[in-house]
Amino acid sequence: MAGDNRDEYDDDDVPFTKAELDLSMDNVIVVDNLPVVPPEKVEKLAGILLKLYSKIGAIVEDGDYNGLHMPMDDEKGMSKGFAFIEFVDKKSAVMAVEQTDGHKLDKNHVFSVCRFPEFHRIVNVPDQYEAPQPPQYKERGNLREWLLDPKARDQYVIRYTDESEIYWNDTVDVKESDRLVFSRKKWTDTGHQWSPHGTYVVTFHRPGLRLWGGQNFEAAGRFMHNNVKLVDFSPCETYLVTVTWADRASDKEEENAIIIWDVRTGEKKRGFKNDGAKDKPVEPFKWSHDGKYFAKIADESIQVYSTEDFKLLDKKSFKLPGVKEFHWSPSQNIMAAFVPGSGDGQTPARVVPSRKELRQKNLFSVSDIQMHWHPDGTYLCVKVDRQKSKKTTTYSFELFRIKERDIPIEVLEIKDSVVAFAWEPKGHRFCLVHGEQPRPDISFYTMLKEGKAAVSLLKTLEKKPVNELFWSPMGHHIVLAGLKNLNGMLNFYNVDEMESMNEDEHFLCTDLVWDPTGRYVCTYVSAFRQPMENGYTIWNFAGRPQLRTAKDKFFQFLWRPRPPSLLTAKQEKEIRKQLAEYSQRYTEEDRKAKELAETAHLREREAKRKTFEEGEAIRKQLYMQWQEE
Amino acid sequence: MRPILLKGHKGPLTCVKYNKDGDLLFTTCRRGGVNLWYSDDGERIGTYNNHNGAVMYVDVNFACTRLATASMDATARIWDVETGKVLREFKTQAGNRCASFATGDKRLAVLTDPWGDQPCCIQIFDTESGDSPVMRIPMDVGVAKATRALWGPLNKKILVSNEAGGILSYEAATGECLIERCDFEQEIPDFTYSQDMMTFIVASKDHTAMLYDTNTLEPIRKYVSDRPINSAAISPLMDHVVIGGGQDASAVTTTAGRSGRFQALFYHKIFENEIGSVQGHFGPINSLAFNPDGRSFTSGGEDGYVRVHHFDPEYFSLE
Amino acid sequence: DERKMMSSRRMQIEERKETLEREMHLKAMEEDRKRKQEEEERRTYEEKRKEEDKRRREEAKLQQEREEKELAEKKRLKEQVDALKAEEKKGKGKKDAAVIDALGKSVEELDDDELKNIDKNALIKAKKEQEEKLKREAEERIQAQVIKMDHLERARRENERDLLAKVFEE
Repeated sequence: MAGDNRDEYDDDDVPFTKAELDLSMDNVIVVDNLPVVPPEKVEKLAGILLKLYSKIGAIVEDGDYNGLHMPMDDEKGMSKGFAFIEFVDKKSAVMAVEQTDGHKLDKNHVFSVCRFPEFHRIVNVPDQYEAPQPPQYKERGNLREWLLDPKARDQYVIRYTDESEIYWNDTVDVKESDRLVFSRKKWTDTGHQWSPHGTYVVTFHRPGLRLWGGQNFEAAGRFMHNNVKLVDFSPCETYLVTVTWADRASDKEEENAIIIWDVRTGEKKRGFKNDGAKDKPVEPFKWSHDGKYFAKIADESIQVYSTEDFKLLDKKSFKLPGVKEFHWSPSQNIMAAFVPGSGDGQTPARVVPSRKELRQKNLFSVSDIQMHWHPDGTYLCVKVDRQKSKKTTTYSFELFRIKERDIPIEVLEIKDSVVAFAWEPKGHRFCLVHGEQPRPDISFYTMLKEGKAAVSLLKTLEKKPVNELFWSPMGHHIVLAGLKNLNGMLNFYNVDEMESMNEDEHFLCTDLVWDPTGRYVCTYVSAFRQPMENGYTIWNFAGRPQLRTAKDKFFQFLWRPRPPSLLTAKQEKEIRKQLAEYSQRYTEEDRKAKELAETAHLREREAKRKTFEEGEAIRKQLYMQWQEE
Repeated sequence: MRPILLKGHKGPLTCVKYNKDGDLLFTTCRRGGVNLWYSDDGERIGTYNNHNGAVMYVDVNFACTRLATASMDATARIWDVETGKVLREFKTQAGNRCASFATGDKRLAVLTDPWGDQPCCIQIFDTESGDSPVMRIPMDVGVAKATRALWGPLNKKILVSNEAGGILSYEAATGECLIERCDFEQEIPDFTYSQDMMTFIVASKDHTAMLYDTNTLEPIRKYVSDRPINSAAISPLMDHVVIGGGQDASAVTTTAGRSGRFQALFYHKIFENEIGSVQGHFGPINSLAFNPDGRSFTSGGEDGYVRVHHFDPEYFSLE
Repeated sequence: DERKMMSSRRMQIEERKETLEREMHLKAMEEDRKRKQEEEERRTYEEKRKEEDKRRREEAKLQQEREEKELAEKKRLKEQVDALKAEEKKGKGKKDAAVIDALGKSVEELDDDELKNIDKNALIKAKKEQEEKLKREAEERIQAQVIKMDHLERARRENERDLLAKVFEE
């Protein structure tokens, strides 16, 4: 239809695509935070930019115009510090933003890149306009804003279908919309993860990871690692490790299968080969509690690296022929390692970095062991399975008192098969699930019998539908749970009183997570394990439900962790002493908040009723009119 | 609230409907057959049994003398309520999903499924004479299949719902489409009027139901649930609506009734909050109706049962 | 004639003898019947009496059993009430778990007569009330714990806020 019959042509038939693109400038990006340069250096800088961006996509070239425009400040005679780059297509523009936002030209110039429509939008809102600044998120203060919440609430992220949402956990009757902190569709490809102190939330993408933080969850870091499968932070959030694992044999040769990055600068510290098994998510390194060292097993030894130079500590690995498993203490630079013998085994505990062996125990006819460090590093429990005959296995627990002189060991023999073991955080007790499924017994033990070092049984609960144990992070309380095949039976148990605070059920519940303060527990049915009944319930520690939400294709619920408390033991004590006064004030605050919520609710209802009645009046009038007809 | 369980159908229920006085209850079934019951005690009075396919919808005229049925056997029929005799039979080109008496009983609007390359279509018959429709309103080609077509007040309009979540309003005199809107993400299996016909409630598989103004076709309120909704009804007495549905049998893997979410849910009509639920069915609810006196309601389920619930006195003191 | 007379007299005598004999026999039979009847009556009476005795004995036994059962039931109920009261006391941290109720006595202190005089329904009611009280108190206790945990955390955060602000400034 083109051209030959111009009078009759229909507007719709003209290909207007190009004109539209020109109008929307979808294919233009704005690169900000460039060095401010005098005119003679503009060409050089332009050359650098063109070289960088032409690798990502074709840049428009039209005679003299090369698709790059760098505005000049005529008064100052210098460049303005930003540039426009026009790509041939939108896709390249999108990719360019993805790949170079946060690019470091040099120490002082970290690119801030956005697409033109976005830039345009910001510039055209005069009230909100702010001159493009170096990203504020580099400041710790802004990143930790959430810790200052006056209501002392905690946050959590959920993911369902392709939605991600971050909420405040608020138990006073607050509307969902008021609790919502952040939400975004298709934020991540596979899932989320919080950094250990809760500063960042991770999103996973094919080309790499992104970190988000601050009040509105702005971009706070980008770590390009194609096909990244796993991320692991050092305990203090200083470093992060990204991992891809060997899909093909040739991947084994890849020097950068595992990369260690500096979280704040985005700098790559070191790459490693991944010698893990094919298609298997191996834990690449284990971090020491202070983040100073990271280690893994390789070549009949434990390789300990230091974060000072990212090289082997003392330039040599720590030979331990046959070593199968090791674990760092959660509070000291001590590790426990297991070296199986031929039919026998031993579990020595050794010191790093001095490499001195602290304690060793030889164990015989071991078929398997499991190590459980107490969260405070006070104790180490080694569960030993021994195959007595083809059918019978016996179990024993080797309990190491790490902080005592010479590290005394006590042995606890258990006749039944052991289903689960868990240390009480901030305490001296542990809990065991043992006996025949599906109704095993639950036993509580203490490491301190009447204040003295001796393991003793406190209580056994018989025949309970339990297969997993979840201690409160504060100790004292535990949820005895029967998840998955036990349909989600929950027993909220007070270990100090040895009494159940409540028994309830979250039907088909697959996962259980405590909030960082031990005040609330979330149970959820994840679509990863169970297609039905997806959703989550938040309970208080005593097992009273606070919030129930059903969501199809619900995948994940993660409480936002908190950094360790800054309060000293003395301050803590002082607070406890004055708790009554605080409590009085809070009770009053709570009462007011509740009242406020109630009046707001009533007001809202009134408004709803009013609008409805207005509509009804019109309808009634019309009805009368129609009746006459 | 003790329910009365009506067992008389051999397959899933498709429609339950009260007469104007509320003393009689008509129910239809996907395996064919129409039953008539006393609504207060559930005694079966009779059946209207000679359709050769699923009966999808039943309508009863104002005076409760005539009954209209729409069936997948490619007929729509008018029956004498008292004798059970077929008075008229309209042969259509395909199965029928809905049949609705115009006020005054002179016209019957029948919603016919697509056939051949023809889209689905509303066929308006004269109830007294003639075997072919006096008017045909075909839906646009390529538009989603219609699920209900009901006369509006004063016979001026016909309201249509469809499988794409759309509500359309047709001028009855000209067959012209006046308003078309799509507020739902998924199929609308059913909608029902309030007693004065000034509002209607729409049920959708997208887990929501909405209350509309019949005149403007603007949504007034929205009721959000956690399950696909198959039917909804507006209480003539209280500011309540009832909605019901549940996971399709194919989606339910466990036998536990609680996981299918088959309860009838009560919402406050104005405030949109859930105020209660009534358990009982062990399959999705397909049809809901309030007794015109507002003192009882009936649900028809995929499980083949009809449940008549008379409210306890406490119900009426609910806000 | 005389012979005739003699013979007739003999006959008469014979007849009379026979009649007498028959009467005697009848009388004997009658007496026998009477005796038997009397015996029968005596026996049935005796049997009845025995049965009555037996029934009375059984009834008494049953009554006693009932009473014992009732008493045991009351004792059990009272024990439960006592246990519930003891639990309440323990919950309140009182070591002395002695029990006081309407009678001011624990189950061990009550003798059977005293226990008999207590209305069973009152015990049932007491038990129910005590159970509800315990439940209510447990709920209150838990609620207090929940609030305490929350307020403690809030107080900690309130104090931490200033420290955090300082850290931010650095």
